[in-house]
Amino acid sequence: VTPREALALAQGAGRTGQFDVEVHVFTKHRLTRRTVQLALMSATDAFHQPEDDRWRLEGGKDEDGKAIRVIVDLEDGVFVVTAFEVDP
Amino acid sequence: MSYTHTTHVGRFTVTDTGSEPRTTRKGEQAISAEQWSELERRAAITVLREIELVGGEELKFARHALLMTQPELAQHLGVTVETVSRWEHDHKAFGRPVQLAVLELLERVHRGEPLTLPKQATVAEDFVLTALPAKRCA
Repeated sequence: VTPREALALAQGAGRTGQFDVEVHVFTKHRLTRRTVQLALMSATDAFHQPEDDRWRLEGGKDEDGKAIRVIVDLEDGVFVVTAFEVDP
Repeated sequence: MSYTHTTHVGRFTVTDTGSEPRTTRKGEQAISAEQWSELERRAAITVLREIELVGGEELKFARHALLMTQPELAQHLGVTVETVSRWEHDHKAFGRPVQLAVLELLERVHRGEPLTLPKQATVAEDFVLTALPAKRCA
């Protein structure tokens, strides 16, 4: 998967709501599904992290315009949100 | 198997049981966005039903649980976007009828019913507006 493809897949997952989220992500942050969806949809760059084979999505924003960074795992074609940072 | 899920709805915390999360390849527990949505809706319904008058934070959470933007919620409630924004930011800006209208939207989505926009008032083409006669001053 190339960064461009990863970004397109993430944006698509945000639009369709077809993604999973690790439980610790929303227990740690007061997040809603909608915020994660917006962050995926509005991400502008995807960077592969070779150390854990995950993707870092940058450039996303929540509805208040705050910058959001999302770390995702691509597992059998399904995005799994593994970390979420506001104002990284 | 089920697990206990905690949702923060504004100032309130709702504990619910959800279906067992799956274990990812890296050994973490994960749920689908769809499961997450159901838990959010149930939490929002619980708070809007049980609390006499919620505040803006809870209203914003309820809108998120409906997966709606402010303009979308405004359309469903027949108000302006500015009004919804004010409700969400000003703690005591709306009353119980608004809360009940949002609760109804949540319950309809939860039951799987489609949400339709309220009918707009229309004026027939042959409708003639006649000004009332002005009061005559003595």
